[in-house]
Amino acid sequence: MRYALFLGCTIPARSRHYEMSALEVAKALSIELIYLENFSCCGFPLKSYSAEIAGSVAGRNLSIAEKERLNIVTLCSACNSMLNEERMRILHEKGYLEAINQRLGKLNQKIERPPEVIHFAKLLARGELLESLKQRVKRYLGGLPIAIHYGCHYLKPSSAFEDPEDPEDPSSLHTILTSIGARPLIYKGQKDCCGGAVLAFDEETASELAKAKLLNVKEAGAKAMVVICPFCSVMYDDGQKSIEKKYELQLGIPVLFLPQLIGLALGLDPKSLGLNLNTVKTKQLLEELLGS
Amino acid sequence: MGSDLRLGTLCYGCGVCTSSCPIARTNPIFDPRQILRKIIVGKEDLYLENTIWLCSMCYNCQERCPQGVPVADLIFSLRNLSCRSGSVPQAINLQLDSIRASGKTYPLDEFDMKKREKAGLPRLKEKVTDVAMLLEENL
Ligand code: SF4
Ligand code: SF4
Repeated sequence: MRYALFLGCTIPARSRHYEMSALEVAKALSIELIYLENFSCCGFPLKSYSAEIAGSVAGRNLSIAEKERLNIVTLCSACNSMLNEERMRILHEKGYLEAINQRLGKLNQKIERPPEVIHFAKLLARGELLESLKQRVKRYLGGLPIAIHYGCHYLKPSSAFEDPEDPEDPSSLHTILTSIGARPLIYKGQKDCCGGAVLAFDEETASELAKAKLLNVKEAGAKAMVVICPFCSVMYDDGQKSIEKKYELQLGIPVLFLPQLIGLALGLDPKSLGLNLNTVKTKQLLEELLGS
Repeated sequence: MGSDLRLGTLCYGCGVCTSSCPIARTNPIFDPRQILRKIIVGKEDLYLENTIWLCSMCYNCQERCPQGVPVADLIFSLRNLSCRSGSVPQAINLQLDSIRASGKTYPLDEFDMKKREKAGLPRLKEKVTDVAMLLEENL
């Protein structure tokens, strides 16, 4: 199983632990992830500026993977929705393929048939891989109570996906977590957005949203939160200290990327999963789990 | 993505968008139904209102609208109009500059590369420059 790994902009700079743990888990499951050096920004940040230009930038990335005859795996949810949305547009909007090829022509690139794009989490939740994941579990998580945060662009807009998951009742991450012996909690506001996208425009609202979520997670008794997007991690992990300070709260909720938790269940070394790089310390959680 | 504002006329004002909106719940000056209202009555300078930049693009409204109004995409269209008229928020300009120069919103410098190396991650290309050509299109 080979895929082009689409990292986007935020992960290589700010979420190396996500990248590290995804590579480790992929290796353990014999998924080959290939770096293509010419991938750029996915295009998502340009959507507010110009839908057409954002589409061209996404299309350029699709054409790069198509040339290598590789389908794409994303780790960031915004990249996931942007690239999938562009793919659907190319496949279904009349005249769009010609239009995008005209623009890509300036770069000597072109699209014939856009590659498939799948989020790493969604890939792991697929039948064969889920089975192989279950069989490789080495460390018992003992029903560890976890608050899952699906976030927005892993699921929405559902029109971006060929095989959309119901955004009102998503299940893929629940399935993965139960398969590795963790216990996903039901908590208030679980579908609420992290607020990351308004951080630059309205910091106050963004931190209100993140605070509300973290409080709900705490109240539900979660030992950790699991996320699958670097923006959500910026809000909940990197931002947690300043939220504690601003609202005079004590939270101390470790925020793990999904492959970090999976890696623990697979018996991988916490350091190779970058568990020392999360902002909220994971030490206590690891002691409980590994008994060291 | 980038939808025709005329789709807004499908709205019958039920308010499902607003009651599903995490931003409206937190910041009372933001109200997607109100934005739709203004689209329908043809408020011409709507794209210059600051509130269009408060949406977090979560798509709840769009998923739930009983009339199939692409609410979030219409807000994107208004933002596109604002940028086309020359009113581009500073945060967007910074991202444009960065993408123009490096193809990425977070350019990687030597310091990042060192950290990547330490984490056992491969070196990445610092700049992908041909993307800039795609940004030159007329808005
Ligand atoms: S949910 Fe749809 S129909 Fe109802 S007010 Fe919002 S845009 Fe209009
Ligand atoms: S996409 Fe924007 S307007 Fe719609 S529910 Fe989310 S924050 Fe509110």
